Order: sequence, then structure tokens, then C-alpha cells
Amino acid sequence: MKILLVEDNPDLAETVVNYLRQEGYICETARDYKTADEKVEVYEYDIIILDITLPDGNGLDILKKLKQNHSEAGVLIVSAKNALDDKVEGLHLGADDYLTKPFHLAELNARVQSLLRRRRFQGRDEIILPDMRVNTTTSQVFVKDEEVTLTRKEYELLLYFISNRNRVLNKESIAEHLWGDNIDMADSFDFIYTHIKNLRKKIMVAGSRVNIKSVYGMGYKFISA
Amino acid sequence: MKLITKTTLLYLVMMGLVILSSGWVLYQIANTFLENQTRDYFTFRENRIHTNLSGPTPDLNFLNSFQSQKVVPVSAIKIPVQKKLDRDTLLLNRMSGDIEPFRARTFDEEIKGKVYRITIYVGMQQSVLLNKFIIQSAFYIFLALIVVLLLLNYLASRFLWRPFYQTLEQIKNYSINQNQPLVLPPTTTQEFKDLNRLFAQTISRIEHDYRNIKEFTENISHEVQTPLAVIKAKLEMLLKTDTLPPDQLKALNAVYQSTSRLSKLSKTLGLISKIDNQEFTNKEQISLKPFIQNILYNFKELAELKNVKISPDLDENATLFIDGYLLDVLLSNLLKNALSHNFANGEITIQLQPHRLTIANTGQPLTFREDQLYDRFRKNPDKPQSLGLGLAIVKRICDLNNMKIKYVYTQDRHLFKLTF
Repeated sequence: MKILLVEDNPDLAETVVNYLRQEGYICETARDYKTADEKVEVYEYDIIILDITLPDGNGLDILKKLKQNHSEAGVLIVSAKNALDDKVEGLHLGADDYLTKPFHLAELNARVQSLLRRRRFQGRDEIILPDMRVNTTTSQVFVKDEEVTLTRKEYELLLYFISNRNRVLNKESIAEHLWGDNIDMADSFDFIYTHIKNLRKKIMVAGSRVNIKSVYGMGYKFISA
Repeated sequence: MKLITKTTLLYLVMMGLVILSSGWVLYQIANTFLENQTRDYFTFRENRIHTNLSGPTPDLNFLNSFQSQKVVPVSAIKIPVQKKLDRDTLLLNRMSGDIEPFRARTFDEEIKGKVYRITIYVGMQQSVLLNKFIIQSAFYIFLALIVVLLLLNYLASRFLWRPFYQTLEQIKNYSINQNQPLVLPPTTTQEFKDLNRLFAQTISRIEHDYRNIKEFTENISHEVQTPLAVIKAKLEMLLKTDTLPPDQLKALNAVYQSTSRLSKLSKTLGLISKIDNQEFTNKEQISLKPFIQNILYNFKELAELKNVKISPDLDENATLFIDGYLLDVLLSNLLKNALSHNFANGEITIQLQPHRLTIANTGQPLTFREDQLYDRFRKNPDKPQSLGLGLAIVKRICDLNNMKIKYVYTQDRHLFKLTF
């Protein structure tokens, strides 16, 4: 799966690319508008992660061009501006998702995976783990073919864990993923604890070997056997 | 009071004084002239009577045949007793048939050994008329002056002062964050030219400074995000590695959290400056009930986790003319507050009436003065993680959208009342 990262900050680009490569993606970068424009013209990508403030142009123009050429690539806009207009315009122009800087890499990863699911699986939208199945269209979770009923947030939490399995997720990134800005961090940590306790119990009762481990002082880790 | 009204009044007072004093002078001159004439006339009449009486055949009958004089021989005295005495009196004028003012002069005169008491009447009608004439003309001139001044006033404000009022109007309607240039009316009046030039200069300087500050705030609030993104991403990569000892991981985690906080802080300050700059202009009539229900849906799970009971009582007909995003920020902040400063198993009541929204929640009383509630960075010491900007934002949004917000703490409840 090929990803193009359009980002002018070399440090950020390097880190994100390293991260995505570790996740098993083929990842290329473009540091400016011109390079990005050329690459998009020549190659096919599954996903383009697009910073819209570039030194020599506006990322939204690349998005426009992609849409004109009926590109299949999923576009995830990344912007330092928290501007509502940018977001609305981006999504209106056909971007699939929008992320503001600074983002959690885990969040970026979850968004990329969700985008890929929507782009590639086209109907086959199931995530399959050794003893667990998640249908992302119907939001159903099955453990050993038995459906497990989860609340909305428990489901979102599980999906976030699955997207970042076998890795420690810090509480902050979880809180932001679940509630955005609608919560004070102090409260959220208790809430996360409650959610995870409930989720863990539901999965265990259904007989899955999947486990959510808490890592002291850090966060939680989803271990899928 | 308008300047032009003031100058008109001043003119009127001054003109009144001028007219009064000139009237007085005129009257004095005319009066002196008339008095002289009267005196001469008396002398002439005296001489005529004297001539007649000292002639060879004094004819008293003839002399007394005039209504305007009376000559009476006084035989009881040998020398004149009555000195010349003038008095003003009203007498019937037989010719006009009117009662008219006269001046009467009575005196004794000895002619050829005989003493006569002579009274001469001189009509003073003309001097009264003159008096009247002077007063009347002064009055009419004054009246005409008022009319002329009012007319001038009107014309002046219409033509002379127009550029000034136009400038005032322009400045009244000018708002620095509307991005509309200030267009001052052209004028040929030097003073107004100077005024306009000064205004234009001042405003362009203010605009320049304002743009600079705005750009600075906005730049800071997003330019800082990219470096923060780098820090965060690098930290996340470090945290992912299992090789670091726990205490270092913990330190990194603290750095990570502070980075998040910094980013949130600058984003929120950016939001406040945007609200201040009135950059949210997509105002529309929003029906509040579905809007609030939607926000409540987002908060439902959080409330359940804290076991807080939310009881909404929402009127269908309440609407508000506001930017949708701002309304979302406003209500989310109030609800977030109501939830996070609440007891476990507490309560939140929301009451929506056509022009009022009340949000009340159970909770500990404030730890600071009530009037500091909307200050930036004012927060509950028990919650050091909160930014303390929520209510500052709420207040700004209310101020800029003609809403009033009131806070009271009664019966262990924090109560925010919005009226719009």
C-alpha cells in the first residue's frame, strides 16, 4: 500500500515516514508543492497525506487536481490551522478526512487505516483477528462468531486499539480520539479507565484471548494474542 | 447641542444686544431731536402770544380761540408767581377725535403791568409714534434675523457642514475588523480637509498595527503547531521503543503531556483572538432545541460515566441568530463546565425558554471571587489540567452576540443564565 506524504517540515516528515514504514506501508515524501504535484501526476497512491500550507503553494490545489483527474487515492488533509474554513473547504473539495497539527501518530495511523478500509475493501470491510471479527460498516464485533454488544465509545475505543495493536497508547491520545476537545484531561483518565474495564470484561466473558494491558504511568496496550 | 445651534443662539443673543442698543441710541437721538423741536416750538408759541399781548390791541378772545393755548389774566397778583412748568397729559384732540398725549407748559407772564397765566399745549403724538416705530422696527429686524439665521443654519448644515457629518457617519460605521477601507467624503473646506486627513492617517496607522498584531497572533497560534507536531511525533516514536527504562519513559510522558497542553493552549488562544476579530460571520437563525439535543447526545456518555443526571426542559420555539460554530463552542463549553465541576452522582438541569437558557449544575462553591469567573486562566485549583479559558471564551461569544450571561450560586448549584 502506497502512501504519499506531502509535508514541508523535514523533521516531521521523517518521523511520520519512519512510523508509517514500520507499520508496513510504502511511503514517499514530497517537501513542496512542485514535487508533490509531479509525483501525483506520475504515480498512483492509495493515500495522500496532505499538508495544505506549503512554502510554494496551497495543498488544496493538489486536492483539486486529484479530483479533476478522478484519482482513486484517499486524501487526508493535515493542517496547522485550526481554521474551520479550511476544514470545510477541504472536505467539500473531496478530502476524506482532516487532521490538525499536532496529531498523535496513533491517531494518524487509525485514520489511515480507516481510510484504507473505506477505499480498498469495498464491501469486505471486516477486520479479522485470531478470535475476533469487527465489521466496520455495521459496527458489529464478533468474538468466536458470537456478537458482543458494545456502546458507541467502547466500539470506537476497540477500533482505535486494533488500529494500533501491540503498541502502548497513551491516555491522552485515547481521550482525544474519543472526545476531542469536549473534556478536561483529568476527568477523561477516569473515564478511559472505566471504559477499558468494561470493554475488557465484555471481551473476556465472550472468551477472547485478546487482552488490554495497562502500562504503568504510560497508558494501555492491546495485545491480540 | 449641535455646534450650529450653539452658534445660532450666540448670534441671536449678540444680534439682540446690538439691536437693543442701536434701538436705544436711535431712540435717544430721535428723542433729543424731538425735544429740541418741541422746545423751539414752545418758544415760538410763547413769542407769538407775547407779541400779541404786548401789541396795541391784545385780543384774548382770539388767543383763547385755539384749543392749544389758554391765556388767562390773573388780576389778584402783580408779579408772576407760576414759574415755567411742563407736564405731560392726555387730551382729546378735536381734529382726530382721539385721546392723544400732549405737553402742557404753564407759566405766568407780566406784560404791561398785567399778569397772564399762559398754558400752551403741544401735541406729542409724533414722538410716541416715533417710539413705537423704533421698537417695532427693532422687533421686526430681530424677527427677520431669526428667520435668516435659521435659514442659514439649515443651509450651513446642509452644505457647509455636510462633509463633517458625513465623516462622522463614516467613522461611526467603521469597524477595524470588517476589512472595509474608510472612505471620507471629499471637501473643499480647509478644516474638514485637515480633519479627514488626520482621521485617515490615524486609522491607517491603527489598521496597520491591528493587522500586524492579528497576523502575529494567528501566526503564533499555527506556526507553533508544526514544531509541536515534530516534538510530539518524535516523543511518540521514543515512547514506542521498549528499550528505555521506566523512569525515562515517565519523563518523556510528562514532556509529551506538556506538549499537548501547549498546543491546546495556543489553539484556544487563537480561537479567542479569532472570536475577538469577529471572524465567525456565518450567522444564521438556529433553532436551539435540536442543536442542544445534539450537543447533549455528545455529552451523554461522559455524563453517564460520572453518573450525572442531565434533565433538559427545552422549548421548541427558541431560536438564536448566531454563527453555528460559535454556538457549538459556547454551549459545549458551558456543558463541559457543568459536567467537570460537578459531583459524582450530581445533576445538571437545562431549561430553554424562548429568550433564555439556564444551565444549572450541582457542585462545590467557587474558590475565587465571582467577578473573576470569566478571567482568562482562572481555574479551580483542584483541576490544574484545565486551561481556564472556557468561560473566557463563553463571555467573549456572549458579548459579541448581544447575549447576557449571569452567574449565581444558590442551593449548592452553579447557575448560568443566558438571555438573548
